[in-house]
Amino acid sequence: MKSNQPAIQMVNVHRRYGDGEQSVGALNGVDLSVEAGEFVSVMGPSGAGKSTLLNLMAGLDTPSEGQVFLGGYDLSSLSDDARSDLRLRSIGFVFQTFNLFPTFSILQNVAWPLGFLGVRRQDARARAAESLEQLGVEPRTHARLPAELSGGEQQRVAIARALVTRPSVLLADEPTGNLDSRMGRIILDLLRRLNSDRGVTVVLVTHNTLAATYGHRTVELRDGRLVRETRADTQVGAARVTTS
Amino acid sequence: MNESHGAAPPDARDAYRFSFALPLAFLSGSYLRLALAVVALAIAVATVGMVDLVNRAVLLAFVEVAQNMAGRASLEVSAGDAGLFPESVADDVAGVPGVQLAVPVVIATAFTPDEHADVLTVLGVDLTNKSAVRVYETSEALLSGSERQLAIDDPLVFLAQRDSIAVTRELAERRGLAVGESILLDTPSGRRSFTVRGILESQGLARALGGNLAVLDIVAAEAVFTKPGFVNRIDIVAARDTDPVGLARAVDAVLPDGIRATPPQFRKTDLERVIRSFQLLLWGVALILLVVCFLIAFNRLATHFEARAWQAGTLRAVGVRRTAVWRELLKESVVVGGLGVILGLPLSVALGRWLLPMIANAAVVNFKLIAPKAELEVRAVSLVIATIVGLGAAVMAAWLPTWRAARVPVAETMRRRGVEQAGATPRMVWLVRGLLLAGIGTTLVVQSFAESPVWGLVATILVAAGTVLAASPLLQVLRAPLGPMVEWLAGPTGPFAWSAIWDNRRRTALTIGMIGIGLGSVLWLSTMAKSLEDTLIYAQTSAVRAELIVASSHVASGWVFAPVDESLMKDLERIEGVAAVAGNRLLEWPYEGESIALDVFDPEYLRGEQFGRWMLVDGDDEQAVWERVASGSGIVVSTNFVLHFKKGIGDDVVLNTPTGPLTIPIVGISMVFASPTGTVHLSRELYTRRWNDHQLNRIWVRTTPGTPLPAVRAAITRSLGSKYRLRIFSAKEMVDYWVAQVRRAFAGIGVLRVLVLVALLLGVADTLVAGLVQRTREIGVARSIGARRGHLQRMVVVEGVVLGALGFLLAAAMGLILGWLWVRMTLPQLLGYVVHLHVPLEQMFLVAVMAIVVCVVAALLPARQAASLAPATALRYE
Repeated sequence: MKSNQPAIQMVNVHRRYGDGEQSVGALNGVDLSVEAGEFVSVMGPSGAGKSTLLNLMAGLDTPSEGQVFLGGYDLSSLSDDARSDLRLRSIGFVFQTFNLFPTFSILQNVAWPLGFLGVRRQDARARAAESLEQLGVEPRTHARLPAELSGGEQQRVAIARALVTRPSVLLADEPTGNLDSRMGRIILDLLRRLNSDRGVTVVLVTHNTLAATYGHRTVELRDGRLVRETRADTQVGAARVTTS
Repeated sequence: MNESHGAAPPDARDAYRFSFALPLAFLSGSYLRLALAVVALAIAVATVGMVDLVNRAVLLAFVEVAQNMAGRASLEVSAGDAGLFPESVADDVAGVPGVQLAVPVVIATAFTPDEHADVLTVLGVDLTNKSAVRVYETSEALLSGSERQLAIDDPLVFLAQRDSIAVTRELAERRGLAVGESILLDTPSGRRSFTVRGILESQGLARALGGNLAVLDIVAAEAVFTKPGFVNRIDIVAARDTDPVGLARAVDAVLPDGIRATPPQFRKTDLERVIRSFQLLLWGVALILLVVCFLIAFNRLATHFEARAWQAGTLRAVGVRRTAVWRELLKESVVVGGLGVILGLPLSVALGRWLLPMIANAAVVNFKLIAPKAELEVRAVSLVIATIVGLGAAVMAAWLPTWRAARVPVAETMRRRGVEQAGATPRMVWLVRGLLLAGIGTTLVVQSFAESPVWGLVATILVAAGTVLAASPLLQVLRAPLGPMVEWLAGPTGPFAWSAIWDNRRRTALTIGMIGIGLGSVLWLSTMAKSLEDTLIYAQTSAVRAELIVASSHVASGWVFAPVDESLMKDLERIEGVAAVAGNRLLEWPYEGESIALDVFDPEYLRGEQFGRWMLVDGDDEQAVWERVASGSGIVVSTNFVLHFKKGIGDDVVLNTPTGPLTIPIVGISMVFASPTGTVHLSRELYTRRWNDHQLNRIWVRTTPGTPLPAVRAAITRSLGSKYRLRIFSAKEMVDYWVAQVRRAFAGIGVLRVLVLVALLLGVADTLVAGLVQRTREIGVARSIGARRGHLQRMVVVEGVVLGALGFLLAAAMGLILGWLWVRMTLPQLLGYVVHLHVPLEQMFLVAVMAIVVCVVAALLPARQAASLAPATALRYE
């Protein structure tokens, strides 16, 4: 990541699906900047474009128009391999449905990304165990399969996996969507601690208003547009960023 | 309130019972994924249909030739292939009550001395005897009355001119011959010119021989092919309502010793038995290919149904009964099977037409038959058999997965979506393996006692099944070293690659088993061919020590050189550079209801080693044994003669000769491959005395020391080339010729290899693709975390390589086991040949390379697919 650059910057980003009259605009001219160490919540109803926004930030998708910068790097100017490398080193991704591999043990699920960083197997397993412990996943569960854990435990494992490569940015797509409220609060507390204690930049996509209050800033997406931005220390206020 | 306790609710499921609406709805969107299963089933259907069609066509063609050779004759009198007897014997036979006609005939072979080298069957019959001629006309010609099959412009001229010949219209048109024009033919007594003075319509025998039939008057035929006053067959037409068996006995009573009357049917039965063994071999090969195709279809369908096991769970959760779920899934497999049948049936006809000449040729080579004009006739029964196979395979493929899904509680079926369903319990699987092993052992024991090749075929199928079942234990045994090796080979995606292999063991094992069977069958056939070839070379090398071997350049039938008159030996002796000559006659002869080969040598060949000698497998002092044979006081028989007729050294053999029975003891046993039933070596002095046959098939030539071989060859060609059409071999060339014949007989292996590789390519690619589809979301996650496209491609290729390597291990085991089984037991029982086992190491290496290459190639497309998956799309995959 380049220093003195926002962790993530999106400039006039459009994302359309389909062609001509049949095309659907998932994002329509979004400008967004996330500073390093910031915790930003992205809210909006279903179909607002939240997941699309996250995918573009991670370089998993390319914008139809506009630019996305990650750590100062223009993602559209990078090759697919370069985007992959950047993602590996800089980003942790947490999914709503956990996306743990059903036939890998908990430890394997967390350790495997390190292989792509050239970390030796034994070291990878040690780091994975450490990551799990930091998130409160007990060592006695490390050999189990994901199906044997509760939803909350699985999500903690998923977060451990996202953090094991020590990324500077954590993108979380509705991480509490499949959890009960108590477990959801635990996960959100975890994310806040990661941000405050380790300085990890967090972008949280959610439709839960409580979850939205965990961030320094909340931006609202509606019909692919950023319609409002509020700071954590203000009440509902006027939009700081206007759409083009 | 309507109390209806105990009453069953209306069964709404009945609406689907006979409908295909649900299966077609489930299948829509899956047709492309199931295309491989359809193709595999189509190949299976095509293979079964093709083999049945070809087998029937081959048998029919050879039988038609045999039947037509006898025309309307109900009995024929002969002294074997080469025996001659006086024409006057026909008069004696004609006097037997119940004989309407006794027609003396000369049957011989001649060749056109040009690049076409047509092999003509020559029929010499008394053309002045209209009744005799009509014996060979077809029923159609006889019934029509007005149109004769044989049209001779001027019968008087035809009979008066000894060079008169009638050829078929087909041959005449092919060679641009008109009545009055000449045709040159190579005969045993040298090259002769004949004048076409009659045309035969291409019906009956003429048609069966593809137009390669010529007719001479019997006097002319005797002068050229036998000797004046001597014939080699008498055809007998029985009076109406005469009992053929009684008639044969009555005719035998008036015949000289050594000559018998047999019904032409005997030939047909003999041929059927001979061809049957060949058909069995063809079925064996076809069944292996069928098993490979079945496995591919099974794998694909099992994957398809497994991926949809959660749908079955949903159906059950809604309230559909287990049997109804099973029924609907089964109907899906019937649809898939039906598509396979629709594709496979026309393919079977096309394949049959293409392969028929090749297979007929292999039969010709193996059984030394006259090449017939084999035509493929599409028969309903063959198509029905193929259809049953196709539908049956599809239904069987669906049965297991649906059974599995039905066993698991509904909630678990839905919860375990994407995870391989539990299979049979380990105990059950090991029980099946144990039973299979016991079955293999039992069939081998039964085969060795019953000496029936059918048991060998059963054992072959069991070994093939065992190969598939051995795949999973192999994977288990190799798990410890294989896991780390895969992870090392595949790099960061190693865990995924290993997970795809290990966590889908059933699919992996099926794929490995499929590769094992396919390549194993190639190795099996290669082992047989190599063993035959090497044994032949070993035997031939000692048998051929002369510098040159001279023979006719024509082949009479199969691989036997056309006979030449023994006067050629005297002609050869006069050539400068020729130090000594020894003659050899090779012919088929009836013995104890079967047909054996008589391999006859001049005493000079038998006495010394200067010309070579067949190695003795058993016998006391080798020198003494051959001396006895040379002196005519003993014979040496082949190993398969001993096997078939249960005779050994010291036992007497009674051979019926044209001059009476010859009783002679066996003094030694040799290894030779002249006949599937058995071969007898005897002295040519004895042979010519008792058989009245002075023809030869080969002449061994020793050259004067110091004379260059090319010079002698050139001198022979110069001196004798215009009279005879000769082929001159060196010892090595002779051996190479035999090897070429063996390879010709096994020419089908090349076709099988290609079919197997195509099938494996499809099967492995399918397994890899199925694995990728199953892991789509995981691949999306891997890409989201930072895996490169190249990582994923490498992962898929490594999976393919592992499948290929493990498959080869199974193939090697299966190939060696079946090779041993067939060389040691089944081949001797099927074809009569006793051979030494030789492992084709070169072929094994080639097959190993092929396995890896095919699997890598099969992995390329799926690898590209994995790499090109858009991560965002993959993450949304359900």
